[in-house]
Amino acid sequence: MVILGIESTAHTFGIGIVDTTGQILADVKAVYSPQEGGIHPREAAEHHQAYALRVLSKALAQANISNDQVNGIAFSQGPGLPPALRVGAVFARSLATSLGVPLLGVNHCVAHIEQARFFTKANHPLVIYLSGGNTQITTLIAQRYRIFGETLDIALGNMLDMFAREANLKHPGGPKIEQLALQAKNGYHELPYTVKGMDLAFSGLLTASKQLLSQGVSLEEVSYSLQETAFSMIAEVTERALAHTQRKELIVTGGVAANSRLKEMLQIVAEEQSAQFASVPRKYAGDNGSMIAYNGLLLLQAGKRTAISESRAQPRWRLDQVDIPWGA
Amino acid sequence: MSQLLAKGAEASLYLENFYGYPSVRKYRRPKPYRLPQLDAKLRTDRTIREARSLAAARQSGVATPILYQVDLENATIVMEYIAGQRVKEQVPSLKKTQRRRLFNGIGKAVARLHLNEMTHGDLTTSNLLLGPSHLIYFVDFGLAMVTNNIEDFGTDLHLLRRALLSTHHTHWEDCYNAVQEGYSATFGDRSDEVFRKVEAIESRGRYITERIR
Repeated sequence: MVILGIESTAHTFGIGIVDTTGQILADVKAVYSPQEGGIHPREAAEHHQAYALRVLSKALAQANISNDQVNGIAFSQGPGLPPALRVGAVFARSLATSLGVPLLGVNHCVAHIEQARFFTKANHPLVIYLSGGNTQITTLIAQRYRIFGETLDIALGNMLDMFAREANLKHPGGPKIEQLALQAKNGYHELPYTVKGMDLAFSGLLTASKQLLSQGVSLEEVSYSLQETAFSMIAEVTERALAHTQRKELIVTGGVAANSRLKEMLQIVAEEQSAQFASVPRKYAGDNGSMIAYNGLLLLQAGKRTAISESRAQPRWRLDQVDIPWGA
Repeated sequence: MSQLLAKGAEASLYLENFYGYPSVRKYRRPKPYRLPQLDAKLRTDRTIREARSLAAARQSGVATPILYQVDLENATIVMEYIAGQRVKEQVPSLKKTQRRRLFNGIGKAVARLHLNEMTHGDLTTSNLLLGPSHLIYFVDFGLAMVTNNIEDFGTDLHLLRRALLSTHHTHWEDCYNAVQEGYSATFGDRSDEVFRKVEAIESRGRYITERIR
C-alpha cells in the first residue's frame, strides 16, 4: 500500500509518499517566503497553487512510482490558514476522485505528533509540540490527545518569527536567532517570564525583547536572553506535565524542535523526571507532506476515510477534537 | 529525622518534626536546565509568593497548611503536615453526589480566594488535598498572585477547567458545573463576568494562526 499526503496549512506546500510500513518514499516541498512582513494568506495560497503540480511530479519521481500505484490521498484538513488549506483540499479531492482511491482528511497537529512517535519509536509519550501556529503539551488518553498546557496568546514559533522580523532577519527567524544567541558575549537580560499552571504566554516577552533592541542592546544578547527565557518556560511546564501525567517518555516536535538549546533543556528535564527524551529528526521537525501521508496510512488502516462532502477545510480544528482510533 | 514524602516537578517534600508538630519541609530544587541567575530569581520569588499566600488564603477562609518557617536563601518553607489524599486520586472512586459536593466546595473556596483579591495560579486536582473532616486544603501557591482583575480570576478557573478536561475527562463536565455553582454562590453577581472571561480565554487559546502585523 502506498499513500500520498499533501500539506498546505501555512508556508509549506509539501507532498510526501509512504509505504505500508510508514517508510518514506518521497518528501518534497516548496516553501513560500514573504518578501517582507509575515505570511500573507492569499499569497501563500497562490504560491501553493503555482507549485502544486511541480511538487507532485517531483514526489512521484522521487518515489519512483506512477499515479496509479497510489492507494490513498491524504491532506491536511486543518488547522491552518483558510486560503492555503483550501488549495490542498481541492488538489486532494481532484486527485482522489480521478484516481478512484480513498480521500483521507488529516489533522495537521496529530500528523506532526504521530510522525514524531514513528521516528522516536515512543510508545506512550508526553508530547511537546512547538511550531509557528501551535504550542501544546499533550498526551494520548482514551483515544484523544488531551491538552495539559498551551499558549494563552501567541505560539512560541510565531513569537520567534515576529521578533526576527523586528530585527530584520529573514524568514524563518528561529534558526537565525539560535545562531545569534550562540555569539552573545555578555550576560542575560531579565525578561518577562509568564507561566500560568501548565499554560504559557509569550506576548509580554516579545514586547520586552523588542524594547531591549530599541534601547541598543546587541541583537546577539537579546536573542540569547529571549531564547533562555522562552525555553525555560517551556522546560518548566514540561516538567510539571511530566510529574502530573507520570509519563516516562518525552518527545518534542514542530518547527522549533530543531533548536539545539531547547532540546538540551528538555533532555535535562527528562532526566530529572526519569523519562526518556527523544526529538523528531531535524529534517522532519517542520511542516512536511510525509507526516500527512503517514497519518493517512494510520487512518486507512483503522478503516477510516473522508467523504467528499466532509472534506471541507477546517481552519480551527483543535487537536483535542480528533478521535484517535489507534490510540490506547 | 527527615523522610522524603514526594518529589514533585519543582520541589521536594520532606516529612519532619517541627517542635513537636509533624511538618513538611518544601525545598525548591535548583533547575539545572536554566541559567543560574534566572533560576535563583524564580525560586526565591515563588518561595515568597507561597509563604505569603498560604497565610492570605487562610484569612479568606480557605484551608491551607499553617506556615511555620521560611528560609529564602535555601528556597525552603516549613509548614503543617496535612494527613490527606490528593483530590486527583479521589475523583474516580467518588459517587456522583459526593463528586458534586466536593467540587461545589472547591468552587466556593476558589471564589473566596478571588474575593480576597488573590489567585492560586496553578489549580489542578494534584494541588488540592482532602484533609481531616472533609476539609479541602489548597497547596502549591508558588504561582499565586495578588490581583483584583477579572481576567486573572478567569485564568484561574480556566486552569482548573483544563485540568479537569485533561485529567478527569470522563467526569469533567459534572465536576466543572459543580465548581461553577459553588463559585457563583459565593462570588455573587460578577461571577457571570468571570465565566465569560473563561470562555474568552479558551477561544483565544484555540489554534492561533500567525498574525499579520
